[in-house]
Amino acid sequence: MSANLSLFTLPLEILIRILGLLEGRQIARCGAVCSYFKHVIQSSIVLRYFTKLDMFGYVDASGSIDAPPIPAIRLNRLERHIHAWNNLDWVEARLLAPPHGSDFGILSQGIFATFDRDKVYCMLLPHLMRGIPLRTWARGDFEFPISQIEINPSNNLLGGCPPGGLDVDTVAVHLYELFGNRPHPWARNHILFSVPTDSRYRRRGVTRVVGCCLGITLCFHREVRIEIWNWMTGQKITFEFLSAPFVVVVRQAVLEVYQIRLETPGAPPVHTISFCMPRLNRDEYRSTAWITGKSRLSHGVDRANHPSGRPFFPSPSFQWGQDSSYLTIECLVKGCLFQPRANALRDGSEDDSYTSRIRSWTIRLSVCPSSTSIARELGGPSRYPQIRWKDYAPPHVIRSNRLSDPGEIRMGRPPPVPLVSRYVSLDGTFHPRVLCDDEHIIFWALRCPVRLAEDGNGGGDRHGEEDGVGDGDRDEDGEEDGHEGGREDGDGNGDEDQDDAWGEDDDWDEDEDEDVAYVNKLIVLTVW
Amino acid sequence: MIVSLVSSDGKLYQVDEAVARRSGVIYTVLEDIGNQKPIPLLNVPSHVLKQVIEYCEYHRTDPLPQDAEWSGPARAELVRRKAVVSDWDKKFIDCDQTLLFEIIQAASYLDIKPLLDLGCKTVANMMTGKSVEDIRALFHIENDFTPEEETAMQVERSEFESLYNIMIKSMAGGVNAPVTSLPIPGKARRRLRAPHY
Repeated sequence: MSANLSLFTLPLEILIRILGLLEGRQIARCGAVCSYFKHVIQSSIVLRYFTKLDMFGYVDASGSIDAPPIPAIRLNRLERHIHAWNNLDWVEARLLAPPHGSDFGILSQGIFATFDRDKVYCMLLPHLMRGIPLRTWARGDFEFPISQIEINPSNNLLGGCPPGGLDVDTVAVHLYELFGNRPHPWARNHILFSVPTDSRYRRRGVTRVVGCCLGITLCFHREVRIEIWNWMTGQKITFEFLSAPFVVVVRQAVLEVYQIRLETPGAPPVHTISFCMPRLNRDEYRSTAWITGKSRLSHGVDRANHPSGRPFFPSPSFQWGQDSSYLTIECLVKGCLFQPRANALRDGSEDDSYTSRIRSWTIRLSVCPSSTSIARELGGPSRYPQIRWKDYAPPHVIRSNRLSDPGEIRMGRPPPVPLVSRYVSLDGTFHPRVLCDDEHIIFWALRCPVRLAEDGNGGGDRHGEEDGVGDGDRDEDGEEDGHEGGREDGDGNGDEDQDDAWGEDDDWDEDEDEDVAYVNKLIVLTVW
Repeated sequence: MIVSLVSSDGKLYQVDEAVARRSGVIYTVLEDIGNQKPIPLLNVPSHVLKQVIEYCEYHRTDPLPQDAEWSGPARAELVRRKAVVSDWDKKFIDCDQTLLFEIIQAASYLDIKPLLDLGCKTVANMMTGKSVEDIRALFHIENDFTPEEETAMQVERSEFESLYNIMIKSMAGGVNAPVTSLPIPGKARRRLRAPHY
């Protein structure tokens, strides 16, 4: 054996083994060391898969029923997934009646949940490609009125908070099973308590679950306090528990990142960097905090039982969370920073006959396409890095304000944003909220105005649908009604009628007449 | 039972059968041929074989590892356990690079999984958190990329580096000086008012 034995003379399989022990980012870095390493990494599918997985913030879910055993297929899927997100090329768009419940909803790993005082309504979003049917269920076995919930499907966790009134100083989080009807078996204590030292703090904003860490924010004016538990053991976590913890706080159009000092446990987080959100009204922001942390789902992950059976999951270290504030939210998903806005398009510009005729709802999604531009900004001289936005709009998704007609939803690549002379915002009538997870974008149109047809037929249809939403078994009804509505429109009326409707419709957003009904709608875009 | 092993440079080592059987290769030889003659190990020089035997002597009572699929959870488990190396192992593997690679190669040749894992973990730990230049310096690797390739890779890599990682870097105090909290400076505030909103 020669004396100058080095990394190069090792058998290839050992080198791959060594590199495979590294984290993805480090593997990528090794690829830049020399051409031999680069070649090794490029030629090993396993290494490439793990690199990409880590780079784009996923963890492998081998236990999943849907996970193919061969790394090549997984790599292929992952690449398709990433491509779909980078190009926002949704494979599927559909309109769903939202589950009953309040105006607050969360989307996590394909499950959309809302709640009202007594019940939590969950909805497993359908996925055509993977043959996952729509499934809805409601939970009503709570001993307390619900004021806030948080779900984490991969851990089968549903955390519910009772309201904290003026006389209640204690903040409590009850831990239940999401798919079952009992207190969560992994949690040692089923209720987590927090007694704020200062009773002026009220819970507000976000509860979040990241792996085994569950955190809530307590807000008082502009102060934000964060409490984190290990929900499985019930112990409150001092911040040093998280390995690389960051807290992201949104305050008035500025996204602030705080780092929790590891060396001094319990010390307040240090503000490290701010992002400036462009083009936002200040009112649209609520002081909201996200909790994020680099805590791996190291124990107790129940991936195999996850209903959607995904081949990989977003890694908890990458979950930047969703802002649950009103009207506008930003999500950092897959390195994309979304700033969705919805506008009612009243008149199109002259050069775009299509939009001027349709006068559709337009939802614009401003996307900062990948983390690279943010990285560039970070390195730049700017004090408040301005993120460059790219506009995508799915105007074909909703072509008219008749949101109940599924025939009007078109799939396909979103065309570029049409040039529109002006947008008209409808105050108080259209509150779209956009939620994202790793596969879906949901435009959640609350109280979106639907114009009733004159003949009464359509009107009845709409009303029927609204009733259907209220019913318990709304999962089938909502869709069927929608289909019927679409057929009737298509058969009986045709284009002329639509033109007429548009013509008469000129002033409908000025006077809120009785012709307009308000329906809640979910527009679900399956990105991948 | 004593098994005789002959290193590549002709030295004879006598070890317990239980110790020798920790090597998959020797295990197979003993099963197939039996323990009559000294077993020649043509790829393992004596100074490495000495180390390997020392390792096997220490770990003679450990349960033999199961064949784990090297992907998915198995890998995640490996990565997670990477840092967990017992003190004795750490001391044992704390040697110069050449010997380390020789031990890895010998472990691979002799099919001693735990030792191979230990060696790989050690090398991986050496690489963890190192920059490209550090790795080059550590393993005496020459940069054989052309400048064009290098710049192309820079772009590629910046595509790859996640925001998370970048933030860690910037927070470590390099790129960006810490920015003070609110209020937003006037310029930025003006920028917030959307021109077309």
